[in-house]
Amino acid sequence: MSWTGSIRLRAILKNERTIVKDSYSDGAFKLSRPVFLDELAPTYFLIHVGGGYVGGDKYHQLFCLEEGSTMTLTTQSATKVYKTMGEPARQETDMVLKKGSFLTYVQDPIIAYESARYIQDTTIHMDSGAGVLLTDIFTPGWSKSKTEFTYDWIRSKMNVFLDGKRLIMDNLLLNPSDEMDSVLLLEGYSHFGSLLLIHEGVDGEIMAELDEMLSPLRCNVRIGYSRLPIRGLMLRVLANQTQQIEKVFSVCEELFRRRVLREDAIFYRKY
Amino acid sequence: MIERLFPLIQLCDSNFPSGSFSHSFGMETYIQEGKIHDAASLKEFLKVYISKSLTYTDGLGCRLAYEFIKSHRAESVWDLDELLYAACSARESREASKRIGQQMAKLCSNLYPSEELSAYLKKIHGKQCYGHPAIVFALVCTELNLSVEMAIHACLYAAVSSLIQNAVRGIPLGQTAGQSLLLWTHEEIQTAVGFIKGLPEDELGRTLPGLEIAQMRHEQLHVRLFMS
Repeated sequence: MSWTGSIRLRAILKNERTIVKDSYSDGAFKLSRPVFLDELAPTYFLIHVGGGYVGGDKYHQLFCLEEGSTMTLTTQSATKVYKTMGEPARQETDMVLKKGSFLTYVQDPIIAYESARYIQDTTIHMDSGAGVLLTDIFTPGWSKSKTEFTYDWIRSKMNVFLDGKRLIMDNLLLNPSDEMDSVLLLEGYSHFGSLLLIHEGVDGEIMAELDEMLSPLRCNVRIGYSRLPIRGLMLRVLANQTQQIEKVFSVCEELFRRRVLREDAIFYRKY
Repeated sequence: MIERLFPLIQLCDSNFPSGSFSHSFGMETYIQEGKIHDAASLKEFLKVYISKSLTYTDGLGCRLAYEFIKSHRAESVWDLDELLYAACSARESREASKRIGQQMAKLCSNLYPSEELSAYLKKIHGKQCYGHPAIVFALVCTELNLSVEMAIHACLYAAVSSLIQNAVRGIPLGQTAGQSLLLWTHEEIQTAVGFIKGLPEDELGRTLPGLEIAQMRHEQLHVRLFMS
């Protein structure tokens, strides 16, 4: 299969530092040089060299973290999905997380413009003792007609397997022509964000603290979070602005870094 | 014909001790927030709940389970059980389906014993399966030689009727209003079943952002009538 853009990364732990052993990028995907926002673990920016995704585009990402390694990946900016004729734009991401590894994968928003069709398919295979922090935000793009939603649809699938057993499955379909505004769906909001955190340090105390820290943010946004069948949580946010969702996510991420990893917050300095 | 219907009537009876009278699957959050406050707002909720939630979980789950059992694909049934559990990110609602499924599996293995149902119960006891009511409905209906349409109808009806009973207590609503709504859902359920028959397998377990957030927020409600 030929990809519009593809990227592969394999990180290993060497002398207590994470280094990238193999990396490969092709087509519209590029990988930045590592930045050490955190002393022992590199951060890489995932760069799309075109202006955005268009119909028929196919992207593939593969991230492997070997035992004990820690890495942060983030996009350089929002992913814009433009008018899609025929085949939808598609992004597939596979993550393989070995024992004791931790991957932070912070995606900037997916902005779907007029007549956009987008499929995102993410699969995580993790060993017990591995961890992940993953975020997603889906937003409608501005359009000439100025109506709220003009994209055709966004579909996002995510499957998380722990030691080969399926643990989490998301199957999101945002389809404006199908009562998307109604109760149980987006309920009048335009933006949807999702944060998945799996780590052995996420316990009841962290959940209680998260509840306290999120309560002042509950104005004009709708927040829900719940514990997973294993140590970890799923956080969902409905809002009308990307910044509101990012604020909620950053509170959660900061709390986790401070309380569990005993590290300072990371400021990604993108803008 | 009627003697074949009796088991389904019994299974769908609100007196059937499946435990569903203790669960609102997020509806109580909407009730406490005032979003569901009368028959009209409950109707609006149910319309979306049937067509966008139940259709893709219990409905499609029941159809697939039925097809797998008929074609002797036991492994696929166990995978389906795992999928239905994994598709719910709100802890209380995930546990609710599991408890109801387990309770029904136990009861039905006494009432309508079959090799497949015993195998399912054994998997549940061995913690290799979680338990889900949609799978139990499929197992019972295949054993009783009832059609797949009957299985899905019964499965959806049981879920909807217990939810309406709970809404009558929770809002509260008059019994007549509750029964009128239940009558109205007959057509909604029939439409859903027609739609479910043509649904591709990978549509299973749709994530509904608003509903899931309501199910998650139920954990933080101070006074609760229901466990989910």
